[in-house]
Amino acid sequence: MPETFDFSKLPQLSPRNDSWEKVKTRLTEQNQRKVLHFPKFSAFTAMAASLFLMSGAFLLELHSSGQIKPVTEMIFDDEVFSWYSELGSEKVNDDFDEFLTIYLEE
Amino acid sequence: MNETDIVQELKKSNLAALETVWNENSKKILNLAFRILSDRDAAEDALMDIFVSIPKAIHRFREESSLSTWLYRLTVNECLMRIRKSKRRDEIEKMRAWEIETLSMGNAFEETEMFDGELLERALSELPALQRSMLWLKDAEGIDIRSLARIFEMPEGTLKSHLSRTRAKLRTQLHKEVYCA
Repeated sequence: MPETFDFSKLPQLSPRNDSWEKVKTRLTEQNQRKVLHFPKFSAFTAMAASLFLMSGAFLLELHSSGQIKPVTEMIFDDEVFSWYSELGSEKVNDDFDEFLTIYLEE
Repeated sequence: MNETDIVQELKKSNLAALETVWNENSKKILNLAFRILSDRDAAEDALMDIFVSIPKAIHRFREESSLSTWLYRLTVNECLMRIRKSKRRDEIEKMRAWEIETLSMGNAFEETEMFDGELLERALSELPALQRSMLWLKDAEGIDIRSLARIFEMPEGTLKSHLSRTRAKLRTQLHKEVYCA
């Protein structure tokens, strides 16, 4: 019993004459599409950069017109700031002087 | 240019390298595709699609097998995908029926006659696509079991078993063709 079949009698196909040309055309078209994608991508990048700069300019404008306060101003704008500003004030220095006087008198 | 050079050039999308691959392999790929799809035009379309996909697909080729083995694998996958797309459920049904039949019958038939090409063609067309392509690659293209196992992504033992059952089925089919003729 033969282990293999003899397929040599079956017809062997060959690719059509224009098949390779069709493959080349499709590959060329694919490459052209890739090239066309690049300007689209660069246009998108330019637009994104423009939007970023515009939003930056807008925020700067808001800041300079006083609608947005700096963070330090927001923190020291109220009672905390007034308490903080009293540290080392004239009153404290007076107390210190009295203490020194008592000490020297003794 | 040796195979490693060709692969490197393919990875650079070199069209001349692809043409070399076409000249060396397109006929084999076309015949394998024809054996799977049983349709000349569909096989030709599959061949062109495979070659158009090579510049992209080559980056997944790890060079663990020969380039031709990898191309056969691409061909089998492409053709099976086409069969699935065209919803040829009868192929699946045929395969199931064939498995039940061969399991129950075993290798009872012995090959004694020499069959002519036309008869063999008819009998071969009755086999499920995957089995047909396995047998074609083994007996017509002389691909070894190890490479076949890579192409069909199955263990060598399973593949041998498939081949054995496919041969039994083909013999059965040939006998049917002879006695019914």
